[in-house]
Amino acid sequence: MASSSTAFYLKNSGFHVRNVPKEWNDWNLFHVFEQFGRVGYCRVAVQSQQDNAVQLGFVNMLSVCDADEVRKALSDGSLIGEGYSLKVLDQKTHSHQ
Amino acid sequence: RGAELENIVKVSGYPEHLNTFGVAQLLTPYRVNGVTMTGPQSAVVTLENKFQVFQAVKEFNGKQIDRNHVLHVAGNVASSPAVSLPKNSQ
Repeated sequence: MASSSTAFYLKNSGFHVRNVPKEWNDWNLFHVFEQFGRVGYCRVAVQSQQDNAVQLGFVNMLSVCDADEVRKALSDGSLIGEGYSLKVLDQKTHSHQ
Repeated sequence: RGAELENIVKVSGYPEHLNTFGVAQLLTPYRVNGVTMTGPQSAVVTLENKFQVFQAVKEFNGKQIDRNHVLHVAGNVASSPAVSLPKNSQ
């Protein structure tokens, strides 16, 4: 198995999440994605710069089906809910993987 | 090593003939990293992370697997969001 840049993940089931509210932790992000299916992995990357109003997140769904449910729920690349609007991008898959 | 404790679930109540592979299969599709049998019908299972533990407990605890067996799945993980969840989510 070719290793990815950080860790193993299932192809087509990972997402980069931008625009995560600054006060959220991993559980907040988890509960958003849990509505669509099973979550395999989830984390919020705390940004080092001060006065940043948003942070970054990574979510891996447990299967491609679950990830497709997330994709269906996206409107123009965003997941919009009460008090948040997450920019969700497919995790890039490099050609050598 | 407290960090590892939140990755484990105690599973019991499954049919007596299951071995570690059978126990791991009960928790499909969560990723099982280890199974330790603790009795004829109980085991401690290590999953990949706390989120999978949380979901496995929610999905499998109290599940009737056949006429004579009800699965009991217990974990040590409580959801702890930093800010309260919006009402429209779970």
